[in-house]
Amino acid sequence: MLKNKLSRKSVLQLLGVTTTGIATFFWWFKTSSKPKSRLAMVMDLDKCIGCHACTVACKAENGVAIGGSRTRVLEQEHGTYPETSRFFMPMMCNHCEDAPCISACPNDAIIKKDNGLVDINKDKCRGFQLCVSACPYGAIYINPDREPDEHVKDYPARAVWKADKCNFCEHRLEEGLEPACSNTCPTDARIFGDLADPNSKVSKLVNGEKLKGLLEEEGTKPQVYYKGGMPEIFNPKKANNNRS
Amino acid sequence: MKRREFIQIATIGSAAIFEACDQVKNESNTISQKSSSSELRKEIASACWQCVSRCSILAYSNGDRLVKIEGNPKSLRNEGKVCAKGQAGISQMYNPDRILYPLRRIGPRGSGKWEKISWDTALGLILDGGEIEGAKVKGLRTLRKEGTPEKFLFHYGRMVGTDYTINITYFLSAFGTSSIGNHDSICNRAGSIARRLTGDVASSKKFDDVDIILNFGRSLIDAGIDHIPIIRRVSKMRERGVKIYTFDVRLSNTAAKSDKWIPVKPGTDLAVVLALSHVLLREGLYNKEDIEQTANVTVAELEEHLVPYTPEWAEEISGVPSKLIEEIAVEYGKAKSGACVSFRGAFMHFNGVQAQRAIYMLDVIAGNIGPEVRRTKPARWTYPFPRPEKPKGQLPIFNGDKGQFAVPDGSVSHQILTQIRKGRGRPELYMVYCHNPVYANGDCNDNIEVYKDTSKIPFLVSVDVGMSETTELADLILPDASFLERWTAEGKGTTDGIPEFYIRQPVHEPLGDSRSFVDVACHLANELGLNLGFNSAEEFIKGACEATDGLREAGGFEYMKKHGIWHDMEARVEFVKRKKINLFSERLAKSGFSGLPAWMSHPDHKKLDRNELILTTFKVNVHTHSRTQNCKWLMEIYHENPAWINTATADRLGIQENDWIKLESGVGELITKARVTQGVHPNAISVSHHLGHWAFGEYASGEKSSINVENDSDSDLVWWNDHGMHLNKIIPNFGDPISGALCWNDTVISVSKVS
Repeated sequence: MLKNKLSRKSVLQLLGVTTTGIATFFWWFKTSSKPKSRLAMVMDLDKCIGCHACTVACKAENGVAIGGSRTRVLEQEHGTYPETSRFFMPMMCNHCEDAPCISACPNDAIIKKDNGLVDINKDKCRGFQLCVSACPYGAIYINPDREPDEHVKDYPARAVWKADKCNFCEHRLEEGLEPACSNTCPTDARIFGDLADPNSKVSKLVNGEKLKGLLEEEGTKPQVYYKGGMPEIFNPKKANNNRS
Repeated sequence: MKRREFIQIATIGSAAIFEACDQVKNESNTISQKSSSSELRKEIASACWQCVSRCSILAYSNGDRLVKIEGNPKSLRNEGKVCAKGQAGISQMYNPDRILYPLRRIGPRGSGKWEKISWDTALGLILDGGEIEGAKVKGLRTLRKEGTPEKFLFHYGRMVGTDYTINITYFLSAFGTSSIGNHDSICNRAGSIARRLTGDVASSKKFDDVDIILNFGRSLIDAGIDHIPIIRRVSKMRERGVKIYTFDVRLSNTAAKSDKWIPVKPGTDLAVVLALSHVLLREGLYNKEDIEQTANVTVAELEEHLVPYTPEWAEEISGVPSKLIEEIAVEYGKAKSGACVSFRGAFMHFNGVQAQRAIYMLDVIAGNIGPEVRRTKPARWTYPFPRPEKPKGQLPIFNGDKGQFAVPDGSVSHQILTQIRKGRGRPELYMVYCHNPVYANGDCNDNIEVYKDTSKIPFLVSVDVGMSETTELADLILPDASFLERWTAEGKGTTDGIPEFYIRQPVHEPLGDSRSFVDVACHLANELGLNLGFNSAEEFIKGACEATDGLREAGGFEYMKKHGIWHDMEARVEFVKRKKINLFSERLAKSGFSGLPAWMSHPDHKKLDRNELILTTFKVNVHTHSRTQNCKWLMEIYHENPAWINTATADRLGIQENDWIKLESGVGELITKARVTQGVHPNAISVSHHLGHWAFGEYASGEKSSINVENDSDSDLVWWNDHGMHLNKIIPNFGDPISGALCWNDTVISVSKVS
């Protein structure tokens, strides 16, 4: 890992000549003391209608196999007839500041990037699944596709017997696009942005309304924040997660 | 590396961590993400056709492979968003059970044995007839020669935009048949007949500006007919604090997102609506002059009519507390503006036409349907080709039995097969287009028997993308292009009354030997010497782009191909005086029904036995009724449809969550699982549509069809065994006495636990 000394040139080569997005943040961080970016997402549970547009957008964008999922929407019913309610809970990798998956991996395949992304290095991953059980959000899965079709085999999500999860569609960020899920959300319930930028919509929401993440008591410092709804009574284990 | 160390290193910005990042970056690049990003973002603007909402889309391909569908941000309707169904359109196109070649039946109908034939052979059969398994069948040319073009029955499910215009207005008219079946009476017919009887009931208000919505049985944000556009509008309205009250048998997602869910006993929305009107009049929350300018009745007549419909009376029937009815009525009456919305939950009932008419009456009294109409300009294309006259020839099979329905008006679609069975008309060539009547009508087994009878239907042709339950009974199958492989022109209005013109253009060549049927129709017309003036859908749409004022100046066809959408920004919203609407319907009064909307009780609902419940149906947000179950991403989300049963009812019947239960009606029985919930009325048992296919391919039914091409590694990864059940098997083809609309939400069934 330490064999190659880095020059600015090699960094640019490695990162490509992308002028927007994440690469810029990487470069800044290396050449100045400007703050890192902290990519985050706010889930507005008052707005989420459980339509699964995000689920399918992610499947298509990332070539996720049947049986795997980088994001899903759970639902839970509450109350006694006729005062019954139901709410929806979009779930994905929380890109935790203290991500239990990172320390659980014996192969150092999972890292916290400078932009805040928790990412899996597919070449290092050996499919041990310790990250899968370490994650309290159920956000990591092992790609079940042993023989991917020609037209999907190049998607990282189809790397055979490797762990996979959300990476905020980093390939889209590099093009100045937002993640596929928030891009298609019909009610704008998913808001993506950078918490290091105090003027971003996510910063204003998270700081202004003192938003919390899911299962904060686990000490993971999740970077997906939930607004409204009833996350305090939400129990992922009791929700209908579309898995029978 | 330990997490803490990692963070420490990251914080001091050592070279090592950069190396790690860059290494990851580099290594990640060894598996490059091919997706809708980068140079692959070469988009083709087109239009969705997974559901009737028809949102504008952008399609992205990687080389020859279509990889992603997104919403077109230029659309003022769906504003760059598209739903789960739309995005799963890719798997509609590539699904492994797609029909890719013309097929001719070998063996008896429904035996599943097919011979692959050429288009020349297939079109030869349609034009000139020939032999199907030893039996002679007649073709289109013969029917014209014999002077019986009406014996060509064309029965479609989904067909809108210029698909409709070309196929029906031009091709079938020029051919000479008005024997055209639709799916009207299994869809929203009771609502449309209520509107036809009542007149121009367009609101005086802009929907988006109202302060309060009363929703009667409409899954507005689950499965609305304008799915994404209405979701966005309602979402913005909710943010603005608009109150939404949803009356529904079931806690739909719409009900869950409303300010209040008010459960109603199935089939009794009408009672609640009448009582709401009663309270408005009693409390003086109306404008006499406005009502009498708007409708053909006086306030005195309304008062007299509504006297018996007190909130207490309505509570007795519907179970909705009278106090709540009064509160909501007063809130509605006092609001600056409001809107009632409704759909199948309110009107696909025995009393559905009157329920919908009562809803209009409520909005007339509340002043939301007032003397002025808010009129927006429709997105109406100009077609430069002369239209053939509508032909007179029609088989007498579209109205049910004589006198069976008061207002049949030629489209009681679920009775077409019954009428054929009764021998009221024999179609020599029966073509089914984008429709699956076997599955989509009630009483599926009866439908199958009629389709299998070659003496009643000598030549059955199906135009389809998949081997549906109807298509598998056909003699000849024409492989249709999917919606991503064809040309259509569409037009819809937007929130602000701006007409949105848009097109569906191929984002991919038709797979295999499939062809857009609209082009096939043009070809058949040419062969028959019918001069339509155009030879393909593309030519027709090109003509329409150049003939439509404004669009022509903007760049016509080339502009449309590039952008997919054009808006008529010159259009203005107008407020015009309304022609008086018929709250009192002479036609109904003459047919023996109440001229003013009045209570009608379903004869079977008056007394229910201890184990009897009323079966109601619903749609979920990731499927259309019957055509999306070959889409793997959607089936993964929704593949089992247990029966929703109220906790108290389940206790009474000794049923627990996930128990197997038997549902028995007059036409059949089914076994399914119970979903015991606080989210459904105790008198109802509620089951979704969509599932329980026994054909259509491996994702839909769990069984590969005979034409499966095994091109999808995902099919080996399917982790669910349950493909749900199809409740239409136990719902009779019973139409409401006024419109003939199938009473989807009225069937009384006995429920018991299977031991």
